[in-house]
Amino acid sequence: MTPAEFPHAGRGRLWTPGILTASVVLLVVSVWAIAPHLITGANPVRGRLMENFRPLLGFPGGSISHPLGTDGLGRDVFARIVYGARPSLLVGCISVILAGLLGVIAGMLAGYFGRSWDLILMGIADIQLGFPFLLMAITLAAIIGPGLHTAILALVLTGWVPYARLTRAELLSMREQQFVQAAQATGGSPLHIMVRHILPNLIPTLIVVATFSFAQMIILESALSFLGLGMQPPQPSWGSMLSDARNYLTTAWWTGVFPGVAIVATVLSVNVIGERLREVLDPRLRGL
Amino acid sequence: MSPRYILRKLGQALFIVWGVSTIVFAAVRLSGDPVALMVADTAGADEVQALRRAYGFDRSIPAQYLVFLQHVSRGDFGESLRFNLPALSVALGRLSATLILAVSAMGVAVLIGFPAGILAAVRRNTLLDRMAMMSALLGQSTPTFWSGLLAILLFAVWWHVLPASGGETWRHLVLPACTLGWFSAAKVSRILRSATLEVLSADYVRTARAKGVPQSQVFLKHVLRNALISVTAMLTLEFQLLLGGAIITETVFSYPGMGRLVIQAVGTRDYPLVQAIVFVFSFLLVLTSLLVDWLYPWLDPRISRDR
Repeated sequence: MTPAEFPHAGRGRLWTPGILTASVVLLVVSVWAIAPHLITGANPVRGRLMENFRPLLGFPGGSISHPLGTDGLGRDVFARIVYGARPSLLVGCISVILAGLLGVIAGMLAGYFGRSWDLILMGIADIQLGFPFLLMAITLAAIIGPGLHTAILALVLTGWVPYARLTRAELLSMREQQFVQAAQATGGSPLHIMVRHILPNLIPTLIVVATFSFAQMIILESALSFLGLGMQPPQPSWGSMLSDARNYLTTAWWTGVFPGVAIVATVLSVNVIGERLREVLDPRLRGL
Repeated sequence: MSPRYILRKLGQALFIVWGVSTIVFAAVRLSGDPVALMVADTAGADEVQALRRAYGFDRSIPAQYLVFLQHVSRGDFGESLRFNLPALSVALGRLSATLILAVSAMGVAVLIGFPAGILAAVRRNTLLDRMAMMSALLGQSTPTFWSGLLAILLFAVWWHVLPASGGETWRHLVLPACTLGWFSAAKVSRILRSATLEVLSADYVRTARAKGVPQSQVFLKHVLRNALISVTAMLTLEFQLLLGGAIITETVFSYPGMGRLVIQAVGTRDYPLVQAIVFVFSFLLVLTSLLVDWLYPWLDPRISRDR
């Protein structure tokens, strides 16, 4: 397909209804993560046992003081969801940034400095394929104990591979291009060439990959909390709330529904924005 | 297929399994005293000492590593602390349940993903296409442990049509398999859609149409066969993800597979068992990769086996 056939491919309106909704959702969730106490006055960790299993507003027994009901320990479900935004977004952000840095550096070493680096790093990447994320996290949790640091470490250790592969592949093709060879001929050092000439060309693609990986990381963080390997109780996190809810689905369905809505809304919004970024920044990745 | 190619692939597979085992070995030693991980906090000093000697932790690290490699090559991971049985056989005892779950989930993914992806491609840019792609995006954004909870809530708690947990009969398999497969169905349909779209615009499809080959023939023989090539590679990768996803799904549904076992083993600090299960999982992953390496050239003769 030629550009003439699709003159507006990858452009069009910036603020489609989908993007607008996704941005609003992410804005709200970010506010929850940054300043949860401004949103809700209820205590997310301590509840009143007397008030346990209150249903949500609009159902018999529900009240405005607990709009989404209470859990088995009488804690406000809405407050726990609001406070639970922080671990999800925090772990997601930190992991994406660290994994991205690690991956780009590894990919550059492999792609630019030639064979021995390449063999070692791509060998490690191959081993990682035989060691999927959850197993890595489980092994780490068995050794250093569960917690947010375990979640971040596991996410970074498994998340760097795509960035490394991508950076390496792009580098290998870019190295042969004239603007890089010109920079080399005029005496640019490898570091200079990398930072000034190659990295800027990689950034659009990296942003797209990072966005989708952020969505993935939020899901994985909540999966770890669900398995009891991430955020530890009584601190609220979306995954551990669902894990608790499993035990009293028959009596309190709302405890198992709304934390999941929060996860899906957040992840879906990130994915929607990622799709749009992909169309705008890197049409080559479309359909992947 | 040349012997050199087979040897190289097998070597690669061995390398990966060796790498994973070595990482696990190193991780246990890096953490300090591995015996402290295994015993309860109440264990006495002589008990710890005895266990240390029994596992060989009193020797030097290189010596321990050699012994470890020797044992692993014989499939000996030590005894599970909780079951008092060889860890590998405990793990393998749950293997079939996990494999059945992963294969059924794959079936679900293919049964939903294939028709959805093809329909979306053929009816491109219609409402149907949009809906299929929207639900694919939704499926990708939904964690299995939540869709699993919703499934339990609907089918077990409210409608009482299927059991919520356990793994005795095929009825126990329905909810876990659908939950696990749904996530992959989303991805399968997306990939198949873009693969089909790509093939539909290929020259040979236009030629086939131009020379009057019936639509159904064009579709089955030219479009689908070629679209499936790229999907096959992706399906293998997806199967590997399903195996990983089984850990969560098994926990949600209390399904008696390896995934649930490994979570329990972490909880009870049954270190030999964790190690054995990690080994079995990585072995399975490597095996599927080998399988696709062999399948791929068969599906697409343009790819030489001697790459």
